[in-house]
Amino acid sequence: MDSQIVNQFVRATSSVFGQVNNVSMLKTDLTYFPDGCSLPAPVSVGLGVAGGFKGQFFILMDEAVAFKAASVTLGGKSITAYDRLVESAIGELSNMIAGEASKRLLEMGLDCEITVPAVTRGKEYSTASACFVGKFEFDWGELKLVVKFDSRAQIK
Amino acid sequence: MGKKILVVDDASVVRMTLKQLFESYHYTVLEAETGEEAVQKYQTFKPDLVTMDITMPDMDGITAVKEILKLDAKAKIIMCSALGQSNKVKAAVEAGAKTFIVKPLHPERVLTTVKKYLD
Repeated sequence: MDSQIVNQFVRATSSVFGQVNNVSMLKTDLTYFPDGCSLPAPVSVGLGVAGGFKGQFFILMDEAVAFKAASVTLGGKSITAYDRLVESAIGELSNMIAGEASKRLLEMGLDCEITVPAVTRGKEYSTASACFVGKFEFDWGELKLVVKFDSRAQIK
Repeated sequence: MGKKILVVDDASVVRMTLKQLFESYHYTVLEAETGEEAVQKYQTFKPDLVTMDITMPDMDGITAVKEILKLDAKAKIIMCSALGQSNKVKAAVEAGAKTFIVKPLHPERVLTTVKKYLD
């Protein structure tokens, strides 16, 4: 079940990036960290998940990737500085990934509620909880996806 | 004066994009960031149509739809949300929304839908 849940987030990330940004992503790694992990996170977006699956998922990226995503959302406008509009754009992109993932989870029988996205800049991502980390490579650079389970009992 | 649209979304980038789109077609646009703000602004702005997100702080979009319809049973509300799972669509339509557009929002689709309910 755990890998099926994580795969819905992986597929949702790839699908939404393809639809919105017209980029093709390659998943290069997916690793399970039973005791948590620490990762560099110049920009991170976190969303909580409740219901059939309880946990959080985070999208970690470099500022350059955030700028490009914001630029596409804003119709190709050149983005040279990190501001609230960039935060809003990547928050909305993550919201769409969450929406796509929750649709896929419901098809698996897991009815989930997603919280509003919280965007953080310039901090390391760190958790002591069990999590899966997926890595994607694409034309814009690299992106990491962290799927964290509230309880290790959910991981089978 | 053009018809009035209230755009409700907690993401400023979505509000800005929809505002620019609607204004370019001569609609008058007002924005709200939460469901609660939407209900308040509905009473004063009296829009011809509302576009409503679902996941927002304070009051979610489905509750806001119900509250607006209590004020005006003829309110025209279109859901614009990333939450496209069947139970959310059903809940929104049962609450009284006219239709549901799943994000990402494509300008042509949004405009066609808005025009359908306004004209």
